[in-house]
Amino acid sequence: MHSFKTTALAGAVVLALSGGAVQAQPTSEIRALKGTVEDLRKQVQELKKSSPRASTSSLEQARIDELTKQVNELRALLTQQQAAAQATTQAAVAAGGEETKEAIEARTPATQADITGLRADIENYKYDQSRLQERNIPSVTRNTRIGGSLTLRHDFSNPGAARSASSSGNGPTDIRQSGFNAAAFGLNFSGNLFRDYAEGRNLTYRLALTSQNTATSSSTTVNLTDAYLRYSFHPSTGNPEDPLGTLTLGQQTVAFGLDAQAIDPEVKAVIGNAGFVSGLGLGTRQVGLVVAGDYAPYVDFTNNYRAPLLSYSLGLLNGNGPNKADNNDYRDIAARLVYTLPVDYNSWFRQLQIGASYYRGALSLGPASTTGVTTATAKGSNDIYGFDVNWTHLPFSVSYEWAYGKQELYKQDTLVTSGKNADGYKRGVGQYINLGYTWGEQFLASSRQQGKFDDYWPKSYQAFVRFDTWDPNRSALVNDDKKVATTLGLNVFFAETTKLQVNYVRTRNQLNGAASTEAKPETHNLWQVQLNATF
Amino acid sequence: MKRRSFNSAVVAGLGAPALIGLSSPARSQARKPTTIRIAFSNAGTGGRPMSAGTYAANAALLGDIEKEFAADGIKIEYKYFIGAGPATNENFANGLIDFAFSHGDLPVLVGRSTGLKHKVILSAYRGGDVYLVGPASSTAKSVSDLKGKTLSVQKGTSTQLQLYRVLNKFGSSEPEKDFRIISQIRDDQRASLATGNIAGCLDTPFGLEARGVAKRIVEVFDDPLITSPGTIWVGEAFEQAYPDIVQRVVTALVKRAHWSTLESNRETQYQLWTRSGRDTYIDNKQSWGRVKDLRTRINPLLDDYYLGGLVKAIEEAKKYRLLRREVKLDGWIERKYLNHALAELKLETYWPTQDANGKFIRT
Repeated sequence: MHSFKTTALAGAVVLALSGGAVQAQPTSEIRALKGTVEDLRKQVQELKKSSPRASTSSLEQARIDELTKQVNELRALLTQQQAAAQATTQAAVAAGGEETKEAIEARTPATQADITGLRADIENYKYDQSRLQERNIPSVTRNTRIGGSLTLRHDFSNPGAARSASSSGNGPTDIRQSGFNAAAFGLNFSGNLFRDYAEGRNLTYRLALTSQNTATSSSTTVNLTDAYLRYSFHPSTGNPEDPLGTLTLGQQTVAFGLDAQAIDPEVKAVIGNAGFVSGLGLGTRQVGLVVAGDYAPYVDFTNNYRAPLLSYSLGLLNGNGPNKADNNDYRDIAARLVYTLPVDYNSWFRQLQIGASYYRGALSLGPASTTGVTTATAKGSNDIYGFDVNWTHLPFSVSYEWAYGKQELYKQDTLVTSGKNADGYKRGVGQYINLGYTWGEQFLASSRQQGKFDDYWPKSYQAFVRFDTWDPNRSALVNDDKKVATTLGLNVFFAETTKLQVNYVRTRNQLNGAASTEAKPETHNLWQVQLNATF
Repeated sequence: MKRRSFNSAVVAGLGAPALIGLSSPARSQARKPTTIRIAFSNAGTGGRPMSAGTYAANAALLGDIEKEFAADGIKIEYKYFIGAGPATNENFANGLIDFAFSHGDLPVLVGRSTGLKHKVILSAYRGGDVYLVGPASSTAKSVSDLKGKTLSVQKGTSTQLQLYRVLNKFGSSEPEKDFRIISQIRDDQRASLATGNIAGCLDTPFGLEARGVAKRIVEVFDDPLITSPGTIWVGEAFEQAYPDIVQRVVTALVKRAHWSTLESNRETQYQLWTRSGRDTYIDNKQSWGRVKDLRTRINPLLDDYYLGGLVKAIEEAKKYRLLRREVKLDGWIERKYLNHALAELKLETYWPTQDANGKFIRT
């Protein structure tokens, strides 16, 4: 049976090789023929060994003869093919000039020594890699990315910081006009705790730390900023047509408006936040549970542009700030909805977004001390409403944001008893508009994702002007607390989020006829130069 | 502080960026540009700045354009976009490229439909075999076995239209209904094949099969109605400002196209293309080994097949709702540079021509 199969195979090979296809690829066919001849020769020798001539049956002898005949035929065919290959090569050379080095190499077989050498090279490479892995590459328990930033800043202000009676800090007698700020750093770890390969419903984490320096202490305090787990309940396979949806548990930024979410130096286009962000208490992280995502993304695949029709965020938060447990039995609610125009990338309305935000907070009301409420006697409300429009159509960008806060006051608060806020509520309102112009390719996805060998990052320059007003108490009887700040700025982006920022801020304080003082001058000029390097 | 002060400040500020914009650096009025920016709608594996598989890729790999303009001091800047054809559109829409050396039918048509101004000057590539591959463990033997499953393609690229043609050929006229089609770049598709997260995608199979990552489910050999020619274009503003520069670029490319069709350079090209890592050596050798006459695939002509390919692609893109606006071909194709180059190099009748359906008229 074995002999029959062999004969049939050999016969098939002969038939196949005698077809037209043989003429098409002479070089590869020669290799195939050589292999076949070699196989047949071995088979003939094995048959001869296993069946000595004396005891060979006539049938076996016939098989041996048949195989010998086929070997001879194949040898003849091989000779023909070699001649044909030679002729083809010569014709190719004649038609296209000299035969290239690559063409010669293509018909030069590798020797056993070549293969052994290659094997040794691969083994050396594997050894090198495993040694490097074991000795020089830090390892982590779970999938982890480590990042951070370093922020260095120099300020010059006129008038300078007010005199201080304290022997520490600013100094007892000098007005401090300029100086370097203490260096600040951020360090973050993020990664995947569970990777869902099929659907992308991943469980991820992020832990971020930041330094906090003061003018009075030489020690650095390290604070926890982000600390959360996030689960993607919608598939996040990277398909831009899929809606995104996440559930985030832990300490995180509050999704309110535009500027309140930009509280880390690496994501801030302007060094200082808008007045209402700190004024309404929005510039802090909160602990809680937030569901966020988008709906009906519009995708212009011909430009890799994705515009979700609606983006949403809804959170239940402690409302007591970061790194603290709750201080009451009520959860604050933060909600945000953003509508993006579903237009193509080339439309002038590209990335025109209109957003609305709402924050419902609960306050503990009571007699106030210098450090806060001493004894809470009642629950008060703290509602904040926001509206924003953002249009980023490179090179132009426009952001407008308005926020209004209505905060309930303790009945015995002087604002209430004095009649300034007789209804028991303090209302603050702020708004800003930021107009920007960008040169460079930093914010273009196509440019960022170019194939490059080196550490390529397109440089960009961004000039902007921001007009910002903040009136912490709109009462008609409080006319000396409003601020108007105009900021002129230039951001130079060297690498991904690494930037040099130059800001000039001119602030006008509402005095309502009062004299300008060191602590509250009528106008204040501030020049800031900040380098934020991210790694 | 009056509210009016805020409003007047806003009005004053609104003018500032516009003024800055007016002072943005205009293109030099000199007769030659300082830099020629050239886009490839692909990159090598892992983002290597290399292209492969076309005569324009050969021109870049062998430094033809640099050599052509070295004496003029004109810098050549190549951009290899991992985001493929859509990224080329985005970059051109922002005024950052002058030439595209490879742009597939779907993105170039949609780009034109949305107002991008360029002139077609050469055909970039044509023909070839198409393979629908699945994970090595796949039990699928035909397109119908894949129905309801996830297929991957980089959407917005010519490969999307090609995938739809393949699926249509094998019985699915509404691919988006019959399959879940997601968008991934090529490296991600290959990773998804390895993990078995997608049921299929279009890819060259030989290297993947050798690594045990994928298997062929469907093969389509050199069907001119499945494949479609690619485009080389120049930005309209650049073309009007520097017609002599455009001619020199086209002539250099046609010269390299001729070199690329010579049998004696076949092996050299396989090895050049392997450098990008996009396809392995065995992919290049096996898929191009079936091409007996390299002129049939490496062909810069803007013949009836090129034009017919665009017309066909417009109809298909509309049918699949990938094109929302009309595309006018009038005044888009500029043959004078190609004709001049062919005459200068005495190659007027060198390349075979095909009719609109891909049938060879002149061989």
